This record gives sequence, structure tokens and C-alpha cells, in this order.
Amino acid sequence: MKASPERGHAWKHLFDFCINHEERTMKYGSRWYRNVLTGMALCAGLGLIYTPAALAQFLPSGTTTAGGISANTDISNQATLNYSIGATAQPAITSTAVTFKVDNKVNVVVTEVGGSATNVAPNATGQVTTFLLTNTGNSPMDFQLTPNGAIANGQSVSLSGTPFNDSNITAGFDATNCRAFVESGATGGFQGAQDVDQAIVNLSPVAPGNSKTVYVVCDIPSAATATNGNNALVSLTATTANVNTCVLPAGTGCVATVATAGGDTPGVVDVVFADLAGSDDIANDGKSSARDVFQVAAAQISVSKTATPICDPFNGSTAPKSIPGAYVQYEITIANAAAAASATLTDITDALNANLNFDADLRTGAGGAAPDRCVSSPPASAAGAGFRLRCTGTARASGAGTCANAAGQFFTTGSDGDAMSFSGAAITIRFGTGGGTVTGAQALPAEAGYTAGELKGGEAVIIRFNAIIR
Amino acid sequence: MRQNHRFALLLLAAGPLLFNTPAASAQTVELVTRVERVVDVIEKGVKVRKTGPPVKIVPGDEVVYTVAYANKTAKPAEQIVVTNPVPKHTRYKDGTAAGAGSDIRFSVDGGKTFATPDKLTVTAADKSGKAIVRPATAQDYTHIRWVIKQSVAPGQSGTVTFHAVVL
Repeated sequence: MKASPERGHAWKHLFDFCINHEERTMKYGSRWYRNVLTGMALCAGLGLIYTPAALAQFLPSGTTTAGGISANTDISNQATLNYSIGATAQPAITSTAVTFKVDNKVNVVVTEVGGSATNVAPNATGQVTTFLLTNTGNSPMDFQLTPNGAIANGQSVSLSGTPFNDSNITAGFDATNCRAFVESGATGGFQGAQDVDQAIVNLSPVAPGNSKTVYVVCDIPSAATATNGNNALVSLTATTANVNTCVLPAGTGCVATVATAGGDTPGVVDVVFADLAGSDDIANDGKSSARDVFQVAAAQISVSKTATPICDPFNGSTAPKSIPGAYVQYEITIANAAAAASATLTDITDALNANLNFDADLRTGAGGAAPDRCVSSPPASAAGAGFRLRCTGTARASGAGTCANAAGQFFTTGSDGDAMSFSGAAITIRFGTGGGTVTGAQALPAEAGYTAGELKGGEAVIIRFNAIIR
Repeated sequence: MRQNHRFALLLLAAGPLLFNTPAASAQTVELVTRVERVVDVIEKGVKVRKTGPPVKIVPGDEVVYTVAYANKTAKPAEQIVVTNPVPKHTRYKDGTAAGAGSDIRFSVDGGKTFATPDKLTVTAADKSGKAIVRPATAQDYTHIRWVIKQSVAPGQSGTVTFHAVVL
């Protein structure tokens, strides 16, 4: 057990953890507790485990909360008067107390967490946005959570100062099947299994000053309606409900809190809505709301192939013609559009036409001598290196032997375990893992900032090889 | 005779709050206290401060306490001193204590001693835990005292007021 300042408040912390463990994972996932499971075991041992525990309707009178003095506190005043009659001091008089009751200040704040759009691909399911709900009132309350993926086209939200308009390219693009989940606390962040299985779709109860992380999880439509750059705004609205009315985990039974109409009822705690307007609600309605954005950012891969005569046996590299013995340079370019999401390349195969032979040496076609100016031209790199790979727009490490090198990276022709080979009539190139048809090393291996086969938006790989016309 | 000179201290709560009726004696000095809520309302585009019944008071709301005295005896009441603690769970709002013809004093020690604001100090710990003496602020006040400078003739009355903010 680690001796630390925390330890002095260990029991209080443990109690807090047990009662409010949703938000305490990081803090209490410290060495003191070893891990959350140990902490939960301690809670269970103490009978403190959050089932959730019902809270009293009001905190003890006079409790200072995030929303001020707790509701149901009586504020009493008593005056004293001293006086004299004819220079004779009279006994002091103390008044009866005048008392009023502090009412229930209902206040809730929902904020977006992260400050940026969530990038999604078409057809993706279970995409996550994160919100934080805080009870800023002076009494424990329940909260009903209402996610909405169907924010009207043209509505906007600003995240970290960047405005996002709903469906700014294609009208009618909305996130679907939006559900709210409360962080279970077992592991920070949205875990499908944990947070979905527990499916706490409403909150009961939340003490003043406490916050809960809420995930709004939605599905993204197909590419037919969701194209790159489209934004689908989602909102989370929390509606205050009377404490301990929402039955967990299903969240049924919530009784929405109603502001007390008309005058004060003496001796009774009235309800006053003190909330500010949220993104999708008005001030003083007992609600708060915030918006987040799903932005479609799919990979946009294009593949192009060019064939250019570079040499014929008689003319060399000067105006070469496509005659038997001529060298034709092929370039296959695989590009991912700018601002698109990363693609993960696996492998590519290309069958050489039966009327072509493969140039095992990737000759330049220039500077050769008669009688065959092509065969006598020098290899681009070295004899036996029939492939050149180049990466453009990349942040991969550059230098000799890398695709980011300005001169490119050369690979041997045969099936010798490197990423590129020519065998029979087939050209095979292996970029990353998977794919299954091609074995060998990876042309785009994992490295700092890159996963195996990753081609980021704005990047391209270019494969060059030569064929010889029979 | 002395009984006739006794002040009756009343507590009046405006609106629905309890109203303490005076003792059934015609020959008294009455003291009435009431509390009202201070609200800002917009009238014709101008923000106007108004007071009303202490309905639905939540933290942050401002209330005004009014203590009214009336001499209903047959003789002048002299050396009237009204003392009112700043109610628990509220703080005194600076500059709001008022009372015609009175000297206003404050206490920062639970009503043991009273002085004008410029003479009040409190001892508090600074960041390093060292005790320092600093001028008192309105939040430090625990009691308010009005010393009525002139005697109050039979049949005459007056009021003193202060505002407090619910914590």
C-alpha cells in the first residue's frame, strides 16, 4: 500500500468511489486500489456497492453544494432590540424567528467532450460521441437522457471554435439508431460490452456537483447518403426527473420534475428551474443539451496505371516505338484522396500480358549501344532489381531503402521473400498484413505514425516496372 | 408600569410566511421583522429592482430583511439599539444596511464587538498557513447593529433594513 496524501482520506475516497465510481475510474485506478476490481471488491465488502443507492430527496440541511446551500434548509432570522425608558434600561427583546425554506434549485449542464468531430465511415455501426452531465443544482436529481441523431439540416454546432453545419454537402444525412449509454466506470471510455451491457440509459440519482459521462452511440448510413465531408449532428438532452424515480437499468418510471407554479408553499420545498439554455432546449426548462458531430471521412482510393514506351532496340530512348524488343514502362499509382480517412492496403496482383516479358533489371532504356540499345542500357538500380516503389505525400521515414526516399525503393524481381515478385506471368505486391494471396515482407510496414499497409489521405504509392514486347 | 414599556417584538413574514401577531396589549412598543425577495424585472426595457414575497427562494437569490419598530407606549423610548445577526446560510450584501437616523455598526466576532467597517479586521491564514490580519469584508460580517440616535416619541416609528444573499 502506497503511503501518499490520498491515504489520509482513504475512507472518504473509497466511499466516494463506491457511490460514484462511474467518474472515479482514473482517480481511483491508482496504485492505492491496484485496480478497479479491487476497489469494487472493497466496496462490496463494505456493503457500499452502487446498485445504485437511492439518495435522500434532499441533502442534510445546511449542506453546501455545487448549487449553493442544499434545498430544504431553513433560513431563520431573529432580531434583538434594546431600549431605555426614562434612562432606565429595559430588558432586551428577542423576536420570534422569521424563517423561509430554501427551495430546490434544479440546474443541469450537459457539455460535449472532446471538442472535435468524430470521424466515421459510411455503414459504420456503434459510432461514439461523448458528453458530460453535471448536476449543478442543490439537490440530488435523476436525469432522463434523450439522444437525437436527426438534427435538422442546416443546424450548426461549434466545437473548439470550428463550426459544423449539419449535412453541409448532402441534405438528409442523419445518424441513425442513436442510443445513450452511461459510462459504467469499470474501464474509462466507451466499451461496447461493458457500457452497453449495463445499458444505464438514465441516471439515478446524481448528487449535486457530481458529473456523469454519457455516450451517444449511433449508426452511420450507407455511402449513398453519407459522403466525405458530410456532417451529422447529434444532440444529448438531459431532462431532470424527481430523484429516485428512474428505475435502472432500463430507465423506466422517470417522473419529470415540474417547476412549482404560482406562489410559494410555506414549509414546502418548491422547485425552481435555474438552468441556462442548451443547444436544443430553452432556459429554465429543467433541461440541458449539447451537440456533437459525426463527420464522414472514408478512404477514397484510386488506382491508375500508365504504360509508356521508353526504348526500342533501334532508336534507343529517342522517340521509341512499340516494336518487338521495345521496353514499356508501367506505373501503377494507388492514391488516397486528400482529407480522406486512412486506407489499409493489403496486396495487389497484376497479370502480365502474354505478349510481354518482364524486365528483371528495370533498365532505364537510355545510353545503350547497338545492336540492341535497350538491353544494353543500364539498370535503374542494379541487375535483378525489377521493381521501384515510391511514396508521395507521406510522412513515413525517408532515406535510402525507404519508399519515401526521393529515388524510390527497389525490390528484387524473383519470389524471394521481399514485398514484390514476378513469377510466371504474375506481378504480386504485398503492402501490409492480410490479403492472404501474397506472402513475404511488407512494402508499407508499420512504423512511427503508421500501421502496416496504411495509406493516409493525400498519400500515394507508385510502383514502376518494365515489360518487353516480344 | 414597567410592563407597559416593554417592546413587543414581532416577526412579520410577508406573503404566505407566518405573521406573528403582537401580544394583546395596547400599551407596547412594537417591533416587526419581515423578509422579502429582491427580484430584477424588466419593465419597458429597463431593469427595475423590486421586492416581493419570499416565494421560491433558491441559492443566489437576494432577500431584504426589514425590521420595523413603533413606540406605542405613552413615553419616549430612548437608546434604541436593534441587533440582527446575518442569517445562517446567507451572506450580508455590502452596502445594503440602512436606517434613517441610525448609526450602523457591524460585528465580525459573532456579536461580541461592533464597529464601523473601516475599523474591522479579521485574522485569516494565508497560503503558507501563516496567520495574517486583513481588513474585513462584507462576507465576514456576523451581526449588524443599528443605534437609533434620537429617542422615539410615543406613536412614532421607524425601520432598518439590510439585504442578504442566500449561499
